[in-house]
Amino acid sequence: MTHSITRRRILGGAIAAPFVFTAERAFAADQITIADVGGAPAAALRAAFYEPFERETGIKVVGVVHEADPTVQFRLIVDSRSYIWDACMVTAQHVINLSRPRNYIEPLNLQGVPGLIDGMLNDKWFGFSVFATVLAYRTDKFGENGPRNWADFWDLSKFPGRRALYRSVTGVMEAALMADGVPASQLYPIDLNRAFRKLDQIKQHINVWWTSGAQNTQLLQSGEVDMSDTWGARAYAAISAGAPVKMRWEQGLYSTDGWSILRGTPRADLTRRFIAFCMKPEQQAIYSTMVANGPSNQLAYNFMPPERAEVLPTSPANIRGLAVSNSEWWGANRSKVQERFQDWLLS
Amino acid sequence: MSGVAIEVAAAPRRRRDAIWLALPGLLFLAAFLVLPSLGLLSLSLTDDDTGAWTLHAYQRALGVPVYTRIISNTFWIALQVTVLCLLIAYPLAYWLARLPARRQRIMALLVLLPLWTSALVKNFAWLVLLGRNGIFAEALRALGMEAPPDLLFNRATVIFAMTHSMVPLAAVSMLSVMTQLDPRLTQAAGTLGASRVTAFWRVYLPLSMPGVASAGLLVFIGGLGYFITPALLGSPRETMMGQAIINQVQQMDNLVFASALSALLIAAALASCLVYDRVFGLSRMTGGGSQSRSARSLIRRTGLWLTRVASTLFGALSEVSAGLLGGHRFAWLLTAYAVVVIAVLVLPILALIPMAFTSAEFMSFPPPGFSLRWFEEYMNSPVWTSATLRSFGIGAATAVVTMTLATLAAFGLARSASRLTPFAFLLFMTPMVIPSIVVGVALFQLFARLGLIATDLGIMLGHVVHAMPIAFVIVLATLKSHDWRLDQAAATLGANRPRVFCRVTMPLIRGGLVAGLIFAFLSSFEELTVALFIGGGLRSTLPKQMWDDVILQVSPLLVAASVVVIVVVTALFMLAELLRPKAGRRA
Repeated sequence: MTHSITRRRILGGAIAAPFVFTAERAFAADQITIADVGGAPAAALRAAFYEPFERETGIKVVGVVHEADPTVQFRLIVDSRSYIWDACMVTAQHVINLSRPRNYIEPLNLQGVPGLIDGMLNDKWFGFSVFATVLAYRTDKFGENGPRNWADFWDLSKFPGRRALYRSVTGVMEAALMADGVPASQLYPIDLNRAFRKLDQIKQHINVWWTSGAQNTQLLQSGEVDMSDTWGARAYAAISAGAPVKMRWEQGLYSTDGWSILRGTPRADLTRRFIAFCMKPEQQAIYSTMVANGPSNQLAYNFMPPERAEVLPTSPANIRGLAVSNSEWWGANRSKVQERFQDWLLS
Repeated sequence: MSGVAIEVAAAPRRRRDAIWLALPGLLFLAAFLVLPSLGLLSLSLTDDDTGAWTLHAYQRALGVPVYTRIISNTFWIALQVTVLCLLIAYPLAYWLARLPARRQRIMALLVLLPLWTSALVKNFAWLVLLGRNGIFAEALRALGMEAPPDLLFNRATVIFAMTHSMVPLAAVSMLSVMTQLDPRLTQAAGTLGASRVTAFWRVYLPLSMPGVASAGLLVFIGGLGYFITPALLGSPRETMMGQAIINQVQQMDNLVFASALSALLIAAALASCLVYDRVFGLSRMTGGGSQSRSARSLIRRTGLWLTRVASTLFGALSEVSAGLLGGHRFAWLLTAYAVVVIAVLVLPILALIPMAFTSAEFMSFPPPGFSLRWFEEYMNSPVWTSATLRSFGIGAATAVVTMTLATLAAFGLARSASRLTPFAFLLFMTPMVIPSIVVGVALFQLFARLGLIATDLGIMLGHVVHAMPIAFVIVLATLKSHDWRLDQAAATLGANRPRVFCRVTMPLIRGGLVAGLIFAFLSSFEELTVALFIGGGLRSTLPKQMWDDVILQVSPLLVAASVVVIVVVTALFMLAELLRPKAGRRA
């Protein structure tokens, strides 16, 4: 008897689990699904764009989270025509990858509005969230006079301390060149030999090669390193949590996250209306007040307190120190450079 | 003494070979894994731009030194982790096997406890605990060390963290074999004059080898696929294949090269499985003809010779120590050892509890202040609670379906004399061998055609694929040590085959079935990639919800969610213990 009782418990417990399969995928006619980056930005996207758009138009916006790099998912959905997403948050670099050899992006056909920064709207993509790769350091180590630029980051005697760099080529190559004295306007095409020579000088002194945004924030917040390259909003997250961290806009490099529509989605027109809505400066102001990513519409600064502008990359004072990451060049060369970089890291 | 393994007359010839029992599982894997993956992997033979056939991707993978270095890294790290896991887990399992049933269950719960938190949370916990300003470094400083050594971002840490996460699997799969060994065999050896040391080395150890073999296989093949731990806790020198493949898919956007790297990893891993199977004979029929092949008998002779040497050596050592210390037997040493190992296993989980009650925005230890805010946020978030419920539901369904298919297959393989068994064995290992991102992409392509994208059913089918090898190997190893003469006796007494299975075999291999069920559930519960691709963000499981949250920043919300899961699981376990009828207690 003991055996049969035990057996029933093993199987019975599992089968009786309160669980109902839900195989249906119901999409209301007036509902669109937007894939975004999740985390803190997701809350800001909801408050600034999804919910107000729904209130204004009655079109429901469902936000879901995509992988750190959504190109594979983007392609799979278009290839299989199973449109679980209608639009996706991508960078200009992703747009290049998604455009060749085959085009996966639905044309936007949207008119710009006053105040948009140049290059933020094209036929495939509308950029609304500008982020910068900048240098950040711990003020408990260096006070207010920490490293100002990449040359300082490379200066081991003037700024001794633990250092971290991104384990990827974008941003790191440009930082090496700027440390070597290349002006921001002449970074591209990147002189790889010169960049790697400069990186050789510092390789032994990099304590951590970080791999994800979350890890980067953790390194700065916990004081694991004294200085690191970072994405502005990551350093700002550490700062707003009370960590003694300061970031430098000088010699920063900016890229932009934006919306692209999945080619062939049956809800393309509804999605276009949503993207047009995201151009409004007052909505962008709400977004950039909640996360430290800059608005692409300069008029958004009229709807924000002036002190907020100080932490945003597109504010008139900060954008002057920044260079644009050249997604064309990276689109063509990234794979080759990354391979060389991997090899360099391992040897 | 070489006749320690139970020798039985070969099973009487049946009209049909038992291998047909493996058919449902094989068909399932062929449909939901092998065929879809082959389509994707065949990309590796094409040119990215023109689509023409070419070997270019393979030339690059084998020609550029960085990739060969990553491949050798991967194998070397997995091997070191395997050896460590076996050495650490064996005494632990041995200790567990000799405990009374109730205490054994409680200790097994503790051993398994770390597996109930997502790998992400555990790795970030290590970052916090072992960091430059972490609790260990502070302790070393307090002890007077000026500059404590770097505890992070090196190979030792990666190997430690990987071993930490796989010792439970190794210990429990050994335990499921050890619990069904007949203790009278060791006693018999004692009666015949063997000392306890000799009896262990020459009777117990050889009999428990199927458990060791299955543990080694699961840890090694599992270790090959690790990517989160080396990425977060290692330096670039610890880059492993899993990471390199994901980088190619995600960052480099190069599916062709990613599938070439995957194909190389799969080939190497399958070759290891094959060699492993040749040596340990996991897929070979049990209970007969065990010494028929010369290769086997050579390995077997070597193994037995080694145990004889060890037995003599340790026997002598124990005599000497007993002489010196007046007959003291050191039995307490094993208990002390087990307690220490369990403490280290549970340590990060214990550290999570205060981290979840923090008032800060970040994971930190010790927390700066007490607050319930993260639990409130968890409880008030329908996204998080529904993801948790969905994970439990999908896990339970996955466990039942997987175990049905895996038990049938293991039974078939254990009783089959067919030459096809090694191939069936390999096929059952493939889900562990194929990189998870390949499985995710391949299943998406298949499920899109079946309308299963963004459905719970789709995620569950993917999880059954994922959970199959662990469940299968655990049950197979248990059946390897099963005494089939008991089944024959029941059949002689007139029981038909289903009756024999339900009344004799199943109760005897219960330990393995429970372990298989738990691990099938757990592998679904922590699975990320399939949930990510098939769920598409619309059907979130708990690991996927955590992953979303962790892309940019690790908030204590994840820790709170983990603590809730651990509390729920522990409470369920205690409830089951309370409700357990007296008859079931065997103290």
